[in-house]
Amino acid sequence: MNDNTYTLMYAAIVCFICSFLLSLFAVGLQPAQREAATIDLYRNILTVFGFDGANMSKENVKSTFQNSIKQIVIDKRGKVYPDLKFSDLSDDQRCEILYTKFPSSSDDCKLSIYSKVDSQGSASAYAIPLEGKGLWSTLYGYLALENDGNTILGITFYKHGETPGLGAEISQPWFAENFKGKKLLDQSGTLASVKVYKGKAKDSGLAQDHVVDGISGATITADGVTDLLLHCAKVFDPFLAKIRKVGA
Amino acid sequence: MLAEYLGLAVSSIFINNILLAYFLGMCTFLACSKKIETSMGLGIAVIFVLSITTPANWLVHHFFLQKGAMTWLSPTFADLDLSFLNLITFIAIIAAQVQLLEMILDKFFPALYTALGVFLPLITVNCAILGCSLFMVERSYDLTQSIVYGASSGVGWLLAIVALASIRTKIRYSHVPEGLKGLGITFIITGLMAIGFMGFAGINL
Amino acid sequence: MGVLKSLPKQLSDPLVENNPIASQVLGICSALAVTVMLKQAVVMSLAVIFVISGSNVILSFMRKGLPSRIRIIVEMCVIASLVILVDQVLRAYFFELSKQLSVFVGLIITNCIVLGRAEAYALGNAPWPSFLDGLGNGLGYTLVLCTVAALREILGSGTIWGIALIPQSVYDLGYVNMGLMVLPPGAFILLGLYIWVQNTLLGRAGQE
Repeated sequence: MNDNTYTLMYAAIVCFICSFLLSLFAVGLQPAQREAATIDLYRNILTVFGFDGANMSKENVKSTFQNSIKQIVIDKRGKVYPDLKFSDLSDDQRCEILYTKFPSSSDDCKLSIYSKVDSQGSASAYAIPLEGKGLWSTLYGYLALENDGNTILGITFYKHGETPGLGAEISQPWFAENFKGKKLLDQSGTLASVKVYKGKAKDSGLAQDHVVDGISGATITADGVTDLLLHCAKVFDPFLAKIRKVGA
Repeated sequence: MLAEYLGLAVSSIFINNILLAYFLGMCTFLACSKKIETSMGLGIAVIFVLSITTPANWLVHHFFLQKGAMTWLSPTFADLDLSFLNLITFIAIIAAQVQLLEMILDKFFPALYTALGVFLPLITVNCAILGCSLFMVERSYDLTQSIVYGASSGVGWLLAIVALASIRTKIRYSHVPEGLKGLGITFIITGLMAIGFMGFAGINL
Repeated sequence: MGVLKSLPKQLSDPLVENNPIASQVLGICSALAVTVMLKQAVVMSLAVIFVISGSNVILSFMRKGLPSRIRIIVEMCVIASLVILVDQVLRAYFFELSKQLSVFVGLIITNCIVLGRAEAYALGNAPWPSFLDGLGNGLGYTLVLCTVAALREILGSGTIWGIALIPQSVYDLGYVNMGLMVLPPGAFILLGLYIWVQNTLLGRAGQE
């Protein structure tokens, strides 16, 4: 057989086998991967609302989520759509939260928020999705607020690709712990959000309700967190403003 | 418009230097920085490979791999997401590009080809090249930005390796302890260079 | 050292004498990124051991028919496919672990050790010795990685495997964690010192 023909055939067969195997695994494992990702998301949302999401069994996670968490569909102006289910919406109908893409998303695109409901169905807390750029990757998380729409109940970052031990510390309990009790609005009611300070928060000279300790060696990731918090607080401000009026 | 590209270029060369700030592309950097001429040649080869692979990978990602990419073929592909093939496709394109570069150099610049020797195929596994393509996807650059980003990252890499080669040439007559000569002192020098470049961190253009 | 002599050459050589990181200058990028904490270094090391051994074996089986011109691309295809397959399986059944590893997937594929050993050994030797060679290099890699990671974690964060090592009283006295160790320059300097120690113990001068 001609040398070139052999080379081409060999290359073609290797390509075929590799693509076949990869596609087989990717497609075959997709349901299991989706389930794993969903359970992980649920755990994070439960954790941010104060449940012990990390240590619950899978069934417990699913049932607690079913009973105590509600997903609300809203639009950019804060209007609630009680009849819509977010999972039924296609990608074009959902807003892109990322700050580079949000301004260009359509006016009637939809956002989703989670609320923690008690047995009577009234909401005691809300969680807004967070999305923003870190150093190496896009950070995805949730920020939980008490029903005054202002005080932070918890924060979690369930998906990111930051350096372990440095930027990845944002998903550690100690980092999230520092956010509890901080506020989004300052004394005069304007949106001040929370800044991750490069150092100890108490040395920053800023109002303590709006600053947390930084992560040594992870300034860029920390700055990314500061930026995305401000941006996402603004994105959901119309909805939160309504909550604040009711809660006041 | 031009200012935006210039800003991207300057930040890729100094502030977000692919080698000294992101620490990608180390192996070849450490192994081949003994002589300034070799480093220069290698650096230029890297610029060449980066300037072509980053936009090439953008094209493939945009028209074939990302979610809904193949809608130009048929609207039924709107939900198709082949991005799990990202890594392997990018690597294949990079490997092919380096092979091409090898053939071009052999034909038109034989002196450089011999000087680079075995380090040319080593560019294939240079994490900086793959890293640039992955960042390009992560940061959603468009085609022109990919070209600018690829080329300027290459320039940044060249800057770092030539700087290291110069320092290594200079210390050849210094009193380096026996056990530290060669690789050991190179690591320490690179550490110090990295500390120096950290001064640029966080500057926003 | 006597124990090492009784092991097959492929296993013992790469541990110190011909260590992939300290002697062959391969696998540096990951040695910087992943050695901030001991736990991540261990996870990465296990993954790399698995991949090198696996790819060495597969490529060794393929070595007779592999056309020379497309050698590198085929090697990369095999290595990349192996790593991505592992990542896909982890994402389905070990989600927490995969979240930590996904960052490293790209780093493992371009880890020069994997390609380097494939080129240097697997393509010229039978599967079993290739497997041992892969295992040996993986272990050599692990040795350097874990040493550097342990030092970086102790000096830079005051913990080991996440457990606080330095009592609060020492901090109160004025001791501060060495921040430089947590950043990549710290890794560089530690690696340089590691090589110095290794060369001194082996009684050889650094290679120019």
